[in-house]
Amino acid sequence: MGGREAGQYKGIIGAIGLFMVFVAGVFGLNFYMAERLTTDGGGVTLAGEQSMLAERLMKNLMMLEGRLVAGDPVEDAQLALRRAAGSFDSILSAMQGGGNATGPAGNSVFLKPISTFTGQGLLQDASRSWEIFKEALDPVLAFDGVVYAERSSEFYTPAGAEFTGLVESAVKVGSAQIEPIITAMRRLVRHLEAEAANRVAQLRLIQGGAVAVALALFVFIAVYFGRKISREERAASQARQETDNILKTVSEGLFLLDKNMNIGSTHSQAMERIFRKKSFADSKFERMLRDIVPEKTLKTALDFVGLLWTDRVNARLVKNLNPLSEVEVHFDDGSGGFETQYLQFDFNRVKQDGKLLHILVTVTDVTQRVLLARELEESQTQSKEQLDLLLSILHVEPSQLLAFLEDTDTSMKMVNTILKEPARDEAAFRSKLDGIFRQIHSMKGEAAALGLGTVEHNAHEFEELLNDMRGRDRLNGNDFLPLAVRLDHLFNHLDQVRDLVSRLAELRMAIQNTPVEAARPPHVAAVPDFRPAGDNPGQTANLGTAGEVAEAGRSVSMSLGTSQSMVSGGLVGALENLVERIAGETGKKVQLQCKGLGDSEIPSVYRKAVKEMAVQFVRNAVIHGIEEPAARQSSGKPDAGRLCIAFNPDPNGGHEMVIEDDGAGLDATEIRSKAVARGLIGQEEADAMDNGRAFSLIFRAGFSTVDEANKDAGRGVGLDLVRHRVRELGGRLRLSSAKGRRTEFRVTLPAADSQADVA
Amino acid sequence: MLSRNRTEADAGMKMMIVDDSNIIRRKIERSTELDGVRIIGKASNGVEAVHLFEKTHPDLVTMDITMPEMDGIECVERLVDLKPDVLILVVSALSDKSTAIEALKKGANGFLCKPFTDKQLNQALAELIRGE
Repeated sequence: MGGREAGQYKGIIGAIGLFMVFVAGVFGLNFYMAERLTTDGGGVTLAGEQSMLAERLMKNLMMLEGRLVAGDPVEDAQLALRRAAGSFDSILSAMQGGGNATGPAGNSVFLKPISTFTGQGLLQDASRSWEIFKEALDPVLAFDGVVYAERSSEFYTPAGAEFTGLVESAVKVGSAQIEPIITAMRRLVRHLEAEAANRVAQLRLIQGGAVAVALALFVFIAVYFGRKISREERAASQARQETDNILKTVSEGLFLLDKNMNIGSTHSQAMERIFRKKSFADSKFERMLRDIVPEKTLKTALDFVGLLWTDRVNARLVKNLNPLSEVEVHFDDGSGGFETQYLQFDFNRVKQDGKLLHILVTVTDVTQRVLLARELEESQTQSKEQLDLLLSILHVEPSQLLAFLEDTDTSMKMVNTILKEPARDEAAFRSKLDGIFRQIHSMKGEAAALGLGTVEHNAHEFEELLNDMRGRDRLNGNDFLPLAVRLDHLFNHLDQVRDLVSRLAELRMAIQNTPVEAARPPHVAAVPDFRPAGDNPGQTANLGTAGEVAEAGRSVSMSLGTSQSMVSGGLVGALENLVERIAGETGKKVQLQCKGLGDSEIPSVYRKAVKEMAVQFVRNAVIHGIEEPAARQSSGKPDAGRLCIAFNPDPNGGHEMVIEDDGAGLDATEIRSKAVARGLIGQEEADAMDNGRAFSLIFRAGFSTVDEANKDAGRGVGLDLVRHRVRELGGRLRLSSAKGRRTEFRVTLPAADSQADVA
Repeated sequence: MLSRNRTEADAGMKMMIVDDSNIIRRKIERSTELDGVRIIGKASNGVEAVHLFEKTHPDLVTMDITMPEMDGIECVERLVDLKPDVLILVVSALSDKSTAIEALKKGANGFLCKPFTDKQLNQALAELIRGE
């Protein structure tokens, strides 16, 4: 902008400069003319004096003649005459040719020659007469003898007589010549005066002309530049108007920031809509953001903008770091709440001649875009979840699925009952929490074993909530309210599963009723899928097994009763699935061996508990017990860890379940320190504990050696669940472990007939 | 790398890679294909980087942030002290923007987000060299 202004004024400055030069020229001319006028004045005076000088010369000559007649001394008269003649002569010749002249008083003056033709003519006239007069006068002036005789017989000396004759003749010549001289001189005076008057008139003309030209010049400058400036003003104002229109219309917020993070005086009108306020002038960027973004974002944002003022930083290479790209902001909605918007701030350097002047900030309201993207993402997640659910259901053996749904229904009711139980003190709240935790954890374990990922995920989120509560210092009744919401969510999800199952059953029936299907041998579709233990049901489940779903869907109890063989056969498969999945996720290799988990081998009253416990033990062993292949190699063990689960009758009519792995074993020291760290026991208590007691800590609710919980471990619930089941069944739980070599859990259950129908 | 290039004329830009991950160091080394840029050294933490820098005076450095011994932020500060016109590209994950900004405040010139493609890396390096 500055450069253009200088260009705009260059013309004016030039014109005024020219004007001044012109005025100076006129002044110079004026000065010269005035000088000339003064000289001319001097000429007039001298010419006037010259005529008087001529008269005086004549008078002196006649006085000399008088003296001679009277016999008076003549020396002083002769001297005066000589002086007057010399002065007249020198002035006359100086007037003609220029040079120094001697004035009548003996003073010396410099004269310029009179240059006019008329003047020279008059001077020539005077000079001619003067030459004649001078010829007669010169002998008089040159006389140097004695005039009067000493003897009285003679009045004059001979020389005196001659001198008298000379004087008489000079008077005669002078009388004839003096008139033309004086006339010429007087005419010269008049001529010079006329010349001077001429010059004055000329000077006036020049001055008048100069004033006129100066005025004209001034008017020209004023008009030309006035029009030019007004044209530029008009262009500028039009540009301003256009800028205003742009700023009024553009949908982005636009403003400039200076180095002190002050917002510039101009901004787009959209700013008022985006930030819900009218004025931004004299406002700081920091103040604009403070009320709408979190403190940390604000600090990072200010740091980021600060970076753009640093020469070193390449602006294009830090765009990624902009903390205000798609930032969530909150505006007061005027009724105590707030409204959430998403804004995108873009920052661009504004440079001129390589110098950074401003940062241009562009603010775009991207709320619609962000919300749409989220909606899309959510609906994608939901569809994926439903598809996953469908696929996982198709891969589960129908009877197992139905048993699972039956169990979860019971579990959910149990959780609901626990939630409703009255509780007043901290201990009661904690016990409620642990109870719910066990139910959900068991459900999660079974869902994982069946490969029902979405159910597992939902249960895991429920656990997150429970875990959050567990971490609180104090609990009260209100803390349990969100659980009801979450429980409802889980209920709904399980309903979805049931819904899908019954739809599949309907589909199955519809397919069976078509002629093509009818042509097939009926047993192909209807024969239950008897699967030897160890086979992977995950690979084979398909619509063909939906026959069970269809039947069982109508009567769950009947289905359970008629296909019990599936439950245990499925248990082995489910455990294998679980091992495969967790091992895959943790990068481990595990060989699972199952014994005695066949259908007929587990008394029906223990079936559910055995299943639950087996899931927890397997999960526990793969996650905590068996090491990663590299670690196993360095301890000289084979890559794949060995995990055995056996369920055997014992001699006393009861049963024994043994779970053994060749993993890292238990580290009593670590268990003690984790238990202290989790606040389960005090340091002193820990120090006093022997290894056996320390091992038993792992069954306590809330114990875990993993620092960060994921869906497979870290809550400290699994073994707590086992402990509860064993206690409910009146059994015993034993644990032995050798650090670095093995861990063995041994569950002893009393004779099955001594059990009421617990399961 | 070092021995292979030592015989070449000492023209172009010398580049040093600083990252505690061997994989990332190798990736940057293999992917950098800019005319006039040659890799003269690699360091796995800030202390190593400063030592190597004092010996080899690189013109261009790719800098990780989270490293043992001395982190990238302090390392940037030291390198800029040693050679104020060195060009430093912070190569880090986007998870903590404020840490990367801190490194830029200490004198780094640009930022490249992990993970990156070969093209992104070369573009970022070219942009860094071209400057603004």
